[in-house]
Amino acid sequence: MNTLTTYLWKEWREQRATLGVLAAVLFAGVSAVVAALPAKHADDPLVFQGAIAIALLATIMSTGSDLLARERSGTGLGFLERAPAGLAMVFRAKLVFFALALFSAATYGALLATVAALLRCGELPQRLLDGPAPWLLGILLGVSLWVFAVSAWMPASALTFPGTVLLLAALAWPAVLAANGDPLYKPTPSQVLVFALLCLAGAPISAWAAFVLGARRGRSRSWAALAGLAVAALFFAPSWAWAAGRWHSLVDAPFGIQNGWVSPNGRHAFLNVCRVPPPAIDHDRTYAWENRSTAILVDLPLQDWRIPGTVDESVFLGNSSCESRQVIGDEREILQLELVDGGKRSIYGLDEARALSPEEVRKAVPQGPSPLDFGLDFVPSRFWVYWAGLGHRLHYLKEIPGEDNHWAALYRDLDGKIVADRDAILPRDSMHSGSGEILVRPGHWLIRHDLTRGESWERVDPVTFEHDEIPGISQSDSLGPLLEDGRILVVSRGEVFTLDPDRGERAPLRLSGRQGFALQSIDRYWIPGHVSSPGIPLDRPTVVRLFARGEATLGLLDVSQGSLRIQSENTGMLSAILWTKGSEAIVQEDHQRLVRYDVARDERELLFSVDELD
Amino acid sequence: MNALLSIKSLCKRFGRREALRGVSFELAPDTITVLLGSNGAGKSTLLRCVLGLLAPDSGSAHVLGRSPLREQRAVLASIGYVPDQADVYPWMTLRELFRFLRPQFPTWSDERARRLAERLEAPLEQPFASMSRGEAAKAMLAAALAHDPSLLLLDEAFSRLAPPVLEQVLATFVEEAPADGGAALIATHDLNVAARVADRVLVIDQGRLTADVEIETLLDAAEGARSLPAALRDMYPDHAIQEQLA
Repeated sequence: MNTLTTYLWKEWREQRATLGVLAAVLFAGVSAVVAALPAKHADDPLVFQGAIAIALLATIMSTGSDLLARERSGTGLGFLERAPAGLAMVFRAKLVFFALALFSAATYGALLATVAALLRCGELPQRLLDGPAPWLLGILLGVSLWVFAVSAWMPASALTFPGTVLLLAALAWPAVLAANGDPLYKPTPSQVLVFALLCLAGAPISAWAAFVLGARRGRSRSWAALAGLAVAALFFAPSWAWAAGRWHSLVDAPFGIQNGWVSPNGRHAFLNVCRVPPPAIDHDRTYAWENRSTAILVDLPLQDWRIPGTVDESVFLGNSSCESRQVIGDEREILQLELVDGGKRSIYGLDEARALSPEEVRKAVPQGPSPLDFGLDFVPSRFWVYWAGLGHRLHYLKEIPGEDNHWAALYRDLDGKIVADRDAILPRDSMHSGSGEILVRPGHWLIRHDLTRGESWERVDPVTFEHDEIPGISQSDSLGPLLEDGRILVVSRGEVFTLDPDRGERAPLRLSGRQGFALQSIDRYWIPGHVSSPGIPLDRPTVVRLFARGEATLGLLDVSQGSLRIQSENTGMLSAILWTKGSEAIVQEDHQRLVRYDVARDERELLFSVDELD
Repeated sequence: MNALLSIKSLCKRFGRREALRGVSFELAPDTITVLLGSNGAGKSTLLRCVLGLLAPDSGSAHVLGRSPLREQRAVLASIGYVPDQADVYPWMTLRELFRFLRPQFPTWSDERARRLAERLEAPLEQPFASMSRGEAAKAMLAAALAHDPSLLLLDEAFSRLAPPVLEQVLATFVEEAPADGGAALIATHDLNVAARVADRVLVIDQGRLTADVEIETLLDAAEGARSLPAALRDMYPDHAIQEQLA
């Protein structure tokens, strides 16, 4: 036998009684469980996984917590220290022995469960490692290493397990934060891998520091515990530093406006503000940032602000991604304007919603047609009403007893004379299904298809559902938005026209203001919380949003005068337009400021800046 | 002369207590030296420094020119050590102890181990837990001598042994003690043991080496005195060991 083998023999000699008892207890336990289960459940993977987990857990709690602690408190340490192989060999043998014990325990547990299932129901268990079992086993093995490490610090084997729980609770706090779903502490997969490897490598090194360095040359037990803890802290430090860095980046991050609404009279602004998320947040967790935001109410003329709810309460007014009225089931009064608690993520979380005061609701709640106005004889349990060109779209959950529920949509013109089902306009088996937009207007309705190579347009007769091309446009033209009379704006090679899609007649508009702006498209934009028609009025100037390559600015469109004035250069990026009246618009710039523009006079006035919040 | 063990200005402190205060001496090959001192005088601390189990605060110890701190494995492989009390595992038998130690000592001899066990009448199959003090001491001595160490260290190994056992152990020790360039250092507080086996006596008191005398000189002095302790007292009249030897 070589030196390692003799040391392994010594460990076996000391642990064999414990392991023998464990084997007997496990045999009796698994046999009893399998015998008590109905035969059809005897091959359940849970029995198999449970037997392995219990075998591992028992081995960890008995052998793992005892190997180093027993040596530290026993009489043989001085003898081992005097042996030429030294304590390093003792440690190596114990680590190898523990690994062998774990492997043997897992194998033994698996064999017991397999044989028991075979005898009970005559079949081998299937799908043995389905579900979270591999993860749980991995975590169990990771914990086992730390149990082994902590046993080198503790004065008695019995204290090892509670000590491990305390250590992991204290030092693995970043992992707890990440597991808790906090988007701030969501690491990338590579970071998870690095932290997990550090955690796994740290355990045996910490155990080595405590047992080998800590025990030799007459060092005290507290010295050993400090050495082990220091190494543990060293290996946990990167994850802690990372978590602290994340926390610090948030604390020092500037505030930003997530979204906002301005009341129809232009007096108040509801803004959801939060610290700007630091980069590298996992994309699918960014939504959770809304839970961190706080709603503030800004009095725009007085340029004063207050928090109407509490910190971490956000305001949601309608659907945040389109102009609409959001109503769910019978809770419309609550959900017409809801303040959501910081812990809430889903807009369906009615239990955590609370209503604003009636006055606050009156200021900001949009009104629109009800589902009954679309010809339904019932109110769906879930529905949304959106603008669709000059008409409306009802998006609702269609519930048919005995069948799967599915989402359906109805389109309605402004007078309610024509109501059409989306499936009739865009047959499910046609190329039109999928993303796209239907613009309701007098005469033909227009359909925009979002294709990978760009958008394409066609028109449809809402009565006969016949499709054909829109006359008077070319492939490269950009269309939209609609005018109140049903015409549509067309941007063609930097020039702007109005187009009658029924007749194909085009009329040019005169451009003025900023020179050199290579106009590509025009957007009527949406203003959340407002129900005014998205059709551009004919009798008064209207603010529109103009796009060039990589740039956006405001424009003032006057259809009666046949002109479009382009705003001089903006001072920031137009995040959203929140309110308009005549030639004035209140916009959100760079997610930082609310600014009032008067496009006709080329004036700019700062109304609110998040700098005031610090 | 190449010293087998060289101790230079060795100091070791435990908190406020100075266990060793500038101890210096050398052991020549083919010698048996007794380190005489009362309990707490620093004998065990000195031996632990030689084994590399304690790091001195200052000074140095070298075994065959090697530092026990830097080359501990090689140093320990050349040393045989017998503690005052057997500290191996209670479940272990002498045969298992031999098996455990064998791969760690390049000079280990199964034949020598068997012969020593027989000569000392140490029980091979009996766990240490059930051995008497004498049996355990004999077993530990057999294990310490089985690899024919260059340096043998005994830490009060002969204390509290029954007279017949002591005779048997001393006889074996004298015959099997390191020879051919080896040396032995025996820490004890029993001057009679020293007189039986030693070539030289070192006296340590309160961590300081206070006397260093050849046994022949001591024995010559003893002829004119009533006893060995009396001879030592005559040679070192102001020595603190006076009270201990009284």
